[in-house]
Amino acid sequence: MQPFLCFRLYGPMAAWGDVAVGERRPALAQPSRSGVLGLIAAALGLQRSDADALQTLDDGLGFASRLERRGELLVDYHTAQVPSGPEVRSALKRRTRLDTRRDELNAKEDRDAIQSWRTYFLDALASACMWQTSGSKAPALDQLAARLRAPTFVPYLGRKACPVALPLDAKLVEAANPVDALTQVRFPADALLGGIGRARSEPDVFRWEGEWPGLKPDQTVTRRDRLLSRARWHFAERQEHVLQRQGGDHVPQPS
Amino acid sequence: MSNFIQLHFLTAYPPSNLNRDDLGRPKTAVFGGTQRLRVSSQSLKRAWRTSDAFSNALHDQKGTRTKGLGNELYAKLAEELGEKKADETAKELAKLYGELKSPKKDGEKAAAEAREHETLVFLSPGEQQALETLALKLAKEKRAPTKEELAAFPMSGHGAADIALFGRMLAATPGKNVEAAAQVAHALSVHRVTVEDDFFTAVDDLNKHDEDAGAGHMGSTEFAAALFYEYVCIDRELLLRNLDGNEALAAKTVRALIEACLTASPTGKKNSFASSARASFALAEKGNQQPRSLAVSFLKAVEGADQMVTAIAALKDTRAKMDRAYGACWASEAILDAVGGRGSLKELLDFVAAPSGFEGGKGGAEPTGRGA
Repeated sequence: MQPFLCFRLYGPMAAWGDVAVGERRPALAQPSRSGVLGLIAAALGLQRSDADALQTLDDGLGFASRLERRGELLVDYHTAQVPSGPEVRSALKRRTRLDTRRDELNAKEDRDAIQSWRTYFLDALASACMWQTSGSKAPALDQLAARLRAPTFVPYLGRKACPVALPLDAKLVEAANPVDALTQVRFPADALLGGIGRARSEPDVFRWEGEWPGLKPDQTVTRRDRLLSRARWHFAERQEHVLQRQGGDHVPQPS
Repeated sequence: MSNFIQLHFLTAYPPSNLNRDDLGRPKTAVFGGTQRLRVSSQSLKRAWRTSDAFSNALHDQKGTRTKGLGNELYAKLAEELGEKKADETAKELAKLYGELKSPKKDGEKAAAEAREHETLVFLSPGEQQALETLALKLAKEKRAPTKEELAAFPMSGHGAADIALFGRMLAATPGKNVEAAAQVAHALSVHRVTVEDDFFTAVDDLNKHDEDAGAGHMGSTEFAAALFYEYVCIDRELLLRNLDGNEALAAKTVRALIEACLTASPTGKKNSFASSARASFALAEKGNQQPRSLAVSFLKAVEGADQMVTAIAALKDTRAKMDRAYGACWASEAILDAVGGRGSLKELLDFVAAPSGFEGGKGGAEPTGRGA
């Protein structure tokens, strides 16, 4: 038995980023290691530039997650309007200045749009689990729990436009392995979710890393979400064990 | 420590198409198992950033988003340095903010294009000023910039109210990124929505029906009406840091943003629908506790004729329940309830702009402990 830090991840929209190149910004339903570590780092007040502290956190914490409701996929078409070249040139010719973005967009010239397609998951319900790895220099789990209750930076579910809509409610659970911890933990405010537990025919999906006695995965997949260098935005591949279990009793069914 | 300002508000829009997808259809999302109307976070932020409320309050403190920095500097340098040298220097300075375009053609047009950035660059007023000053100095002294002069750019981007609020990302120089102090959720309708089709024809006024009486044009527009729940969270400490500790400007910025939130609307198809609206209900909260949206209030879609009253009640009820379950999620509050005739915009703005009211916890059990 050992302590695990478990917390709720729920919001109307979530976007745990996958490998993204160019204008397609894919996301996965199951929380990513890098995304959840980022949330913890935000709670601790670490900045994106605090490379060493982020590395210590990444080295010192193990990660597992439970996806109770996958939710619906949404691909959001997104444009950003940009004043194009000729407009800026003609403003220069007229010796006028475009002081603000409002002025730019009001100028009677051509405009371009930069397009992107961003993936989200709607109504997804998940929980995360972290533990200290051997020789860990990361802050103690109870300290992390306290900081998640009063974070320095605002927490979000993968993308900043995805706020959490239930308190994270971080708590310590004694268990033999992360799957047991995620099965045991209870979040009282789940009652507020009422309706979204309704059509729960889908299985719970547990994902974890590392080897645990007595824990046999259905399959093992590779995911590129292990921090390699925050400064260079590099992520390494990681092995994630996957186990599906039917019928969690986690979310109260409406009577 | 962090001082969070959370704003929850309800705004009702008549039939409209505020924010469209690539097919011209109003954006939607499934929430609580039913389809809701949606306005994306990006669309809301643009509407607020370009609003009169924001503009009037912060005219001197807004950043510029442009690809044309190189050309602006070139114009400043051309006369003194000569075209060739001015071109080189302008490019050298512009490159500090990211890659420039490389057009395949030759000629004056292509030369100007070669001074443009590949992507948009967001500059604070201070940065723009400093770059121009340097450009004029170089022109006067007829020389190229020194290594030290170049190393001073890009600046932190601090000082511009909208960069401080909504952030900046320069892929080429991540060290100069600015983390957004405002978090904005996508707006979701509190009730289920079916997007409707408006089939329309345009009459040809000069068609005398000699040959046929058909319409000159046919088309269709999709639209829906909705009462939206919207949520914004401002990290006041981060905002203050992004504004180099300027308390007065931070207060002005918070005021301007929240006034824009409650009074400005996305402008999509506004002339076809006259869809401007103001918030009917707003709840502002201050505190150090972990921020949370109150979207779960509307997981069960609001039904019945009295949507606004039902929605306000659901919001208050969920908030109380959350406080009971977790302890207080906020320290102080202000409410603007146009339906119940309580509070005013001015009172709400005075509340959010004040630097106090973040300590302690109300509403539930004992206050949540702040970390080290």
